[in-house]
Order: sequence, then C-alpha cells, then structure tokens
Amino acid sequence: MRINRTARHAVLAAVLALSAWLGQASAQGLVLDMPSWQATEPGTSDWWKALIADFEAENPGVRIEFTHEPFSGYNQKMVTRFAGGNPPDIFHMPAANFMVYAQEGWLAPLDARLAAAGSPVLDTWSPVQSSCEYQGETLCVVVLGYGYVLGWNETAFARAGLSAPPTTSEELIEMSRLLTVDLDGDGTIDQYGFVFPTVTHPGVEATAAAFIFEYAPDAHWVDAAGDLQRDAITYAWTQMRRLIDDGSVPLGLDNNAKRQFYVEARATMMLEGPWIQGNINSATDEIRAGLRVAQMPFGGAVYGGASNVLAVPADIPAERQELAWEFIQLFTTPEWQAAYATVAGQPPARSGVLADAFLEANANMGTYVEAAAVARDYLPPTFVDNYTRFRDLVVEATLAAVVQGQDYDRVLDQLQTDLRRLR
Amino acid sequence: MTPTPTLPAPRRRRLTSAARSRLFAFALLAPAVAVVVLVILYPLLMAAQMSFYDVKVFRVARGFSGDPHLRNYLDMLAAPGFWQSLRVTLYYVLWGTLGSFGIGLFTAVLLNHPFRGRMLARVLVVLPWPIPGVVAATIFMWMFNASFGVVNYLLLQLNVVQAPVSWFTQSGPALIAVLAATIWKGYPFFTITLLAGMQSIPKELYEAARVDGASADQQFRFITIPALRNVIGISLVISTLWLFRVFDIIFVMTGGGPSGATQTLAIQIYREAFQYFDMSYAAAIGMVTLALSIAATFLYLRATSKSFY
Repeated sequence: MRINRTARHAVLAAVLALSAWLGQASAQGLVLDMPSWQATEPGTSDWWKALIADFEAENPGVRIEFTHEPFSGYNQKMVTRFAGGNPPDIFHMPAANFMVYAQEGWLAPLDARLAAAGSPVLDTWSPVQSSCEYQGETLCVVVLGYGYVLGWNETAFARAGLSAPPTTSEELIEMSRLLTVDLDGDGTIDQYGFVFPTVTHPGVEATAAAFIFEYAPDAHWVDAAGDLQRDAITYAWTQMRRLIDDGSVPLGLDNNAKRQFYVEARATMMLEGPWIQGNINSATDEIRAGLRVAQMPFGGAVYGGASNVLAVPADIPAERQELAWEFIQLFTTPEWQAAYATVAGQPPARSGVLADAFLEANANMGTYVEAAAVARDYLPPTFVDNYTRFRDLVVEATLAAVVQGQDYDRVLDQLQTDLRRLR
Repeated sequence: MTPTPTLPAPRRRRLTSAARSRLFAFALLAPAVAVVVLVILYPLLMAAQMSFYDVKVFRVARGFSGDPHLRNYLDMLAAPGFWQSLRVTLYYVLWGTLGSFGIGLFTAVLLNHPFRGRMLARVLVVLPWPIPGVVAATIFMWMFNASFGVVNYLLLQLNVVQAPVSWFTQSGPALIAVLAATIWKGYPFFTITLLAGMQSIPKELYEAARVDGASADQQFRFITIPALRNVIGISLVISTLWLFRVFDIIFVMTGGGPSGATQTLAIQIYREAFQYFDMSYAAAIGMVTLALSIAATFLYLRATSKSFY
C-alpha cells in the first residue's frame, strides 16, 4: 500500500505530538486520586483545597486530584472501586462505613506510622478516634468528631415569652408545646416547637439515642450481652411520643426536610451535629439573626461520634501509601486543625488548637468544640461489626413504637428477636 | 508401469438458498446474542452461583471459595423480613398493574374516539411515561406531604378526613402513596399499547355488530376486549416485570419504610447487597424474584394466548 507524502507527514506529526504529551505528563510527576463528597461543600471544600495546595507545595511533582462524588452512592462507588482493584490513593470516607473496608482488609494499619511520627492522633485527638480501630489496629484518622447540639430560634422563643433554651427533656416537651402555633389563624400550624425525622432515616436512631443517653449516661440500646436496655428505650420512646401526641412535631419528614423546617423557622428546635452551622448560614438574614445553638437539653451523655475519616488503602504501591500518610500528617498539624474551625467552620479533631479570642468571637464554635469533647460514641460496642443493619432495625422499631403507636413491649420483643438473629 | 489410480476430487457441498438465508440471519443476530450473553446471561449465572456461597463483596479475580451450600436460601425462608417483602411485592405488583391497566384502558377508550383537541389530549395523557421515576417520586412526595401537600388539602376541603393524614409514617397510607406514584407513572404505557391495539381492530366488526343491534357496552365486551387479548397479555407481562423491579419510586418516597411496609423484594435486594454488603444473600432473593417473574409471565401468556381472529 502506498502512503502519500501528506499522510506520512500527518502520521509523523501525530507521533511527535503524542511523545510530547507523554513527556509532559511524565514531567508533571505523580497524581494522587482523592474523591470526596465534600469537594463542593462551601467552607469545607475551601479548607480541603487549601490543605491540598499546601501539600502540593511541600511535595513538588505530586498533584492531588480532588474530585467530587455525590454522598448518595458514595460508599457503593468506593466499595466497587476497592473490589475492582482500583482504590483511591487518599481515602476519605464516612465513618459509619468504616467497618466494610476494615473487614475486607482494604485499609493499611497506621499504628507503626503513628508511633514513629509521635503523632498527635495518639494523645490529643477526638475521643471517638477509637472508632477507627479494628481488631486492635488503627486503620484511619478521624477528621470530624462531633457531639450533638440543640438548635433553637431565639426570635420564636421571645415571641412565646421564653428566654432560654431547655435544659431537661421535660422542659423541651413543655416549651415545644408552647412554641407550636398557628401564626396566621388559618387553622394550620405554621410553627412547630420541635422537629425530628419521622420516616425511615438514620436520624430517627440519633434522636432516640439522645434520649436514651439522657436516661442512662452509661447505657446504650443494648448491653454487652446484646440484650436491649428496655427501661432506657421505653423512656426515650415515651418522651418522643409525648412530643408527637402534643402535636409539637411535624410528621412525615426526613432529615433534610427537618433541617429545612428549622432554617425556615417552621420548627423552633432540633437536635443536630455541628454541621448545623451550614444550615444556619443558609437561612435568610432575618431568620438567621435569631438562630442559636446550645448544649443538648439533657443531662447525661451527649450523643456523638465520628463523622468522617481519612485512611490509606492497603492495596496501592508503597510510594503512594507514603504520600497518603504524609498528607494525613499535614492534616494533623495545629495550623490545619485550627483552619478546620476558621475556614470549614467545624470543630477540629485535635484539642487545644483554637485561640481563646477566636472562641470568644465565635460562640457557636465553642459550643461545637465543647459538645465534641464530651460526646459518647453512637456505635453500640456489641454491634460495631454490623452497625448498619442494627441501625435500620432500631429505626424501624422506633418508628413503629413512636409514630405508629404500637405496643412497646411487642415492638421490643420483636426487636430483641431480630437482634439475636443478627448476632 | 501401471497407472496410479486417482481419486475423484471431493465435491464441495453447496448450501441451499434457504440454508444460506438462515445462516445469514444467524450471522446478523450473532453480535446481539453475544452482547446478551455477556451483559445478561453471564451476570445472571454469576448471581445464581453466588447465591450458593458466602460472598460479602464480590471480587471477580478472587472467585468463589468454600463449598457451595443452601444456607442463604434457608436463612431467607426463615426470615420474617423476606416474607414481608414478598407480601408487599405481590400486593404492589397486583394493585400497581390493575390500577395502571384500568386507567390505561379508560384513557385509551377515550382517546380512540374522535373529538376536538384529541392530539393535545394524547400528548397530555402520555406525559407521565417519559418522566424519570425519581422526579415522579419527588412530585408525589410533595403532593402527599402531611403538612403542605395538595392531597391532604383536597381531602380536608372535601371533608373526607377531619385531620391531615401523615402519609409516610403509617403502613397503609405509605403503600397507597407509593402505589399512586407508580400507577401515575405506569398507566401511559397501557394507554399507548391499548390505543394502538384498538386502532388495528377492523371497523367492519363494529359496523356488523351495530347492524345486529349490539349496544356500545356489548361492542366493547365482545369485540374490543377479545380483539385486544394478545395486546393486553403482552402489556401485562411487560408491566408486571417492570413493577417487580421498580426501585427508584419506592426508594425515594419511603426507602422501604415505615417498618418495611413498602419494602419490595427489589428494595430488599438493594439493601442486602449495597447497604449491608451481603451479596450472596441478595443474590438468593434475586433468584426468587426471577422465578416469580418467569412464573407471572408464563401465567399471563397462557391466559391470553388464544387468538381472536
């Protein structure tokens, strides 16, 4: 076959262009892959991007590709990537999914590295760092450890003649009743006193557990033998049902709708993690002026846990593992931990990095930091290995007892049977 | 020298024209068959095999380990959750099919008659069909919202209920809300197929019936419905298979709750596989769902296979 001169020149030009491109790509060095659902979140993404820029400046020739993956389906996508032998290089994940990766042996142990570096993770880190342990090994580092707080609306409180947020669940129930009103007199409730999710959603478990922690600070849903703490659960369900029976809670909302009700001043109080700040910031100027946060309105322990964590995949080349670890080390420095509060607006996992002046000027941050410091992990020790299934069972049981009004003993018996089968 | 005997050259067998034509047809079909085998049959066989092992997260490179067993099937049969999902599925498929078919037949009959603005009516009637399930689910979630939904508003205005219904917190109302969205999304399929079937019925049949004094009702019962039997059969099969695997509408609206009241087998399979990462158990439920779908298809086709003409 004869190739004319023009075609030969075209092929030659293409080969040269490809070589030049490959040469350029090689000169750019290593690219680390880091997907995250927070890559577009206002505030948090700014902090991640600044941290990444600092890492790249410290490691010339290394670039981190920080890509956005939607939270819904994030875990499924990551599991698929790990199972397909294509894990990310720096692994950012929701803490609730940690066990799937740990059980499959997909995460590199960090203990030796933490010890060799004298890492602050060993002594000045969030109390829920323990949720990164699996079979005696540390497999991740907590990015955000949180405790729940009470979001309340000072404007609505003042309108009802109330001045301060509740400090017990009895006060919460009473105030919720006073704050549930038909503002325009059309026969429809325009403002509810309290809001929590009342459809199938993990937030149902969080709300019930907050009441359980009030009843018995050392208790959880189950004891060490896996038996239900029936008195504590009955107390929690009773308090929640009283709120519903009073008409103080709008029904049929999931967690997103719950937050929307709060920022639109259609609900006056809700329990939430420190990410409530993002909701408060999204409210209109008029409403935002009245939105406040306070410590949980219960005595006892504060519901909390690890929100998200960083880990090093076990099945990536050693050079990439080392760089991922260096990234985690940079993340633990006091400067970047402080910036987590100032830029991302979230309480840092490392204690003692925030200046007093900053905390005084940002009262909400002080509340988040204080709540995180005393929070009890939401993970029941007996069901750590299959927490998702456990959580779904208690969510459905709580909805049956609290929202559908089924008999507590019958629901508890069924839940106990299901949990035994689970173990 | 004796001459070497030479064998006659083998005669090349020539294909007949019909055989060549068949071969050509197979050649044309081969790529499609290869794709079907690759993307449907192979995963199906893989899932069937997986259901006899203990696989949490499947990795192709690792394959299956251990001895095959029936434990997933036995666990499934012993789990009340599976039987509840099966009940919900059958209820959902039955009422979803009947509702869609009823509205589809009604609208098809309406649109089969000439009237002013029929083209516009046809467009409006089939509008729900191309709308994505997630969008339809979101629309219905707002319509059925307990505090601000239009459904509660209408029911209160008409004095059907005395207080707003909390649709997504009670088992019965949640299933009704999910079915409403499913039927709304599904009925245009019946409208389109039944309308097409009605337009292919010879006019002479109706003319003859009118001459014989048959009423409109009798024409419908004894000509339209029998003539549509095959179309109805195929439509019911397709709709039933669609309802067996509906995921988006239910997952968005209720996530399978409350208390599993709207958890169909499709939702349970998803949760077992991608929330609890118990893929073998999910595969076992998938095999049962497949068997049910095949049985339903067989029953429908058998019931409607008699030809009218």
